[in-house]
Amino acid sequence: MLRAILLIVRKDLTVEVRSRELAYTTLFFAVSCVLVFAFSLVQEGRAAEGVGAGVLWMAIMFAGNLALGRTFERERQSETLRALMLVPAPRPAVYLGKLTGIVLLLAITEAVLVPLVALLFESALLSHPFWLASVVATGTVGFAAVGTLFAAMLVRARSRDVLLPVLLYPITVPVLIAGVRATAAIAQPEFEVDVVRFWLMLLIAFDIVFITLALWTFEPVMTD
Amino acid sequence: MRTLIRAIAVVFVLTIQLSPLAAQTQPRQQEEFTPIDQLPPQEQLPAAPLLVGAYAFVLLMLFGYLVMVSRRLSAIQTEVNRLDADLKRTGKG
Amino acid sequence: MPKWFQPTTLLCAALFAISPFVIANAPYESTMGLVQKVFYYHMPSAWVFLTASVICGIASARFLATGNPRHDRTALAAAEMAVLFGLLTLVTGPLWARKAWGTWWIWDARITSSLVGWMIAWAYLILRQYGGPGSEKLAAGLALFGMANVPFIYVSVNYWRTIHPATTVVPKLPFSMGFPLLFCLAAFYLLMFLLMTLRTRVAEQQARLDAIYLSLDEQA
Repeated sequence: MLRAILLIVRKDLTVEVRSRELAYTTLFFAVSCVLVFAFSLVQEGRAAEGVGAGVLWMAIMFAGNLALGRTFERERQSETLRALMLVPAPRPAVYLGKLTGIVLLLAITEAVLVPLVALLFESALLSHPFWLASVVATGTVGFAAVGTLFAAMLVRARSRDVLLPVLLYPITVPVLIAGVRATAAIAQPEFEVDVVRFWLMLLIAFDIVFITLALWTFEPVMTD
Repeated sequence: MRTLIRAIAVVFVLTIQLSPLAAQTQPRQQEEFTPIDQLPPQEQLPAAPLLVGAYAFVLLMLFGYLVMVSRRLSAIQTEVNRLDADLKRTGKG
Repeated sequence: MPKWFQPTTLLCAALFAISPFVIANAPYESTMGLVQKVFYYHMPSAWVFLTASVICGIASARFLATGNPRHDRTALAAAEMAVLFGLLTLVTGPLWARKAWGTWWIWDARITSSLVGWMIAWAYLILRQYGGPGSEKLAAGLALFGMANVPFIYVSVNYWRTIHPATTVVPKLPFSMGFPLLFCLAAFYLLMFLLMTLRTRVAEQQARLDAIYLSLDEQA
């Protein structure tokens, strides 16, 4: 099964490396989001207090939504999804393979987003890089876990572009809350480890529960 | 089905009049609102419009939904009966 | 429609007709005054909303497990109940809050969790309506995820306001299981049951209609 996952990831990476379309466009979109937030929230040349954490996670969720939609759109257009489902690998492997691909894509985007937001919004995000990396990683995995399942589910549905955020955002509210609160706690001058640890535990629990749930429901939901 | 809907309509119209509550609001409106100690004191707000508004909203929504679903059921039922009659007439086999 | 439907509907209508009288005679609550009486419609709505959400989640799980369309119809009806009664809760709540606490909205754990839960129920209906063919299974998956999410939503929203949740912003409700409250609870639950029966019947007949059309197409 691990081999199947790696093969799927390699397939996506190979396609991506040739065109770099997804990576560049997602990255640019994320940066545009940050710009829009900057113009909305910066008053008299200074960013409002403590909005950095919120802006970071908003950008991740918007860019992530876009990336999810377009990853599966690509599959739909090439009709490779059907081919993937016919592969003699266990179905969960397909899910995990796509999940890994999305998480990698978002990781690249976040590597640019975090310093950018820290800079533009005068937020001390990078003061505790290990904690920040854990929080962002677990949050991204949680968001992507739910998003990959929903995006795969919606591939053949009508109005799939607008339905994905409609379904995804209410379900990922805990990820958003935990991510923003933890990031804000990290960016604070007095760093409270307990607060960050609490939110991190919540994110890890969310990830475990929802990846498991997604693995269970992937098969019944994807079969016609 | 129609008479049932009419009966419910009559009942709801009577209920919406909310006469007992309206009767009760008259003498009480002079009463001073005692704020709960944790909260800051608020300006005087008449409670009656909020209360009546809430009840009216609930009853209207419930009634509206009931009417909507009943109408849809009758429409579908008529259609099903019509098709069944057609099929019996033309003979299914 | 089954034989018991009509008399039960009349009973329910009677309960609702009598309810204003019962509520008017309820003991007058000293701190919040008249507006507290919204509570007698607000709390049953909230309970029905929660019950309907749970029914939707369970029915969706059974539908995904067995594929029996009856569970799917139950889930759909329950979701409509959840959206309807959730809307009633979310409107009567602020109307009460405006007078009782001086503000229309408050980001309290319970209220915010209800809002998110309501949006998930609404998303379920949108998916069923606009998702095209095959959206029954997708919606069932969504309902399942929504149900699994409830503890996470509650915990995260609870601790979102303050890391010290000892202080709850909502003053304790006078939870006296008085007769007026039980009366209204009975009326609301009976109504939910009746509406669900009606709605599942509509879905059943719709399925029958689709089957007839399908067989007509095949014969032609």
